[in-house]
Amino acid sequence: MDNFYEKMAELLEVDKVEDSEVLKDFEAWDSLTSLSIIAMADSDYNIKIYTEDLLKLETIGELKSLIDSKAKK
Amino acid sequence: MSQSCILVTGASSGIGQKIAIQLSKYETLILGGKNAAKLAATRELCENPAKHHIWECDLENVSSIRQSLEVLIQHNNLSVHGFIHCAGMMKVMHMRSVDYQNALQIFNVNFFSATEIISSLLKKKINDAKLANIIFISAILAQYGAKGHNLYSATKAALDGLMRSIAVELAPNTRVNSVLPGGIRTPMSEHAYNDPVILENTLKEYPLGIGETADVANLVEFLISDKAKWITGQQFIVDGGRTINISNK
Repeated sequence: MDNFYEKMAELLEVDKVEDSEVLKDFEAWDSLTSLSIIAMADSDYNIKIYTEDLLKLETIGELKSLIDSKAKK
Repeated sequence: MSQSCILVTGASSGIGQKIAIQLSKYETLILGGKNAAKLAATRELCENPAKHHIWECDLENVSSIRQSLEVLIQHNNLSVHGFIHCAGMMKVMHMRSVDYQNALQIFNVNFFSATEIISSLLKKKINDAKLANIIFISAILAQYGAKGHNLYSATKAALDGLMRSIAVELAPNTRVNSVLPGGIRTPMSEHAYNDPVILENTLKEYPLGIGETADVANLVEFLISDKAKWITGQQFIVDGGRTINISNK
């Protein structure tokens, strides 16, 4: 999970991201960003995330917790 | 006398596996894929498993394809009369995230693998000019657009461009056609269609619902047969009405 913040920063076109930041507040956030997160979780961490999981999330930190919790299973 | 057979790439799962199972009733097959165990599982689902050959080859590694295929053909004294290219990977990303490396990866698997295989199978000393039929599993995204499918669309359009030109070049010895599926339930798309939000949105767009692998395999079975002997250079859409649907969602 070391690269998670770097990958999110790249996806959202900012220099860095913080746990407290709200996903939808990023200027680069769009429908394709959520698909890209789903694809990234699958290809990089072998984790299945669904759209409805993402819809419940507010912040970068919550997304990280979701991925962490699924990775442990 | 060599044994005449059909090569199916992407035979481990999804559309390629279904095509293999259906054609195994009356053809000898080479099952191509990157995982020998999965190919062996497909072979067990085929009629007369023992007569079909397994070709383990990672198509992303394009430079290894030619020799690997030629060794298989020569060692087993095969001649390949049909090639069905089902192998493919999908990437969904913003255009701004596209770079040469990820573009090359998907083009290697989806497109350059096919050019290497066809070129090899057309050489007289390898395959004795026996290749009579080529079918590409393309996609409706070869003709239409969707967010994030930039590279995937480009690889499928490349296949169809190749298809038309070699249909002319290789006639009358070889027929070449493309099948363009819409959304089909396969291991590649399983995750998306297990997603209730994506499934609900998709169902609104498909008048006949989501497709099954057999819907594609049935058309391939026809195109590879002599019943299609006067058909070449064409794109065939199999999409449950997706691309003709302009209803308000």
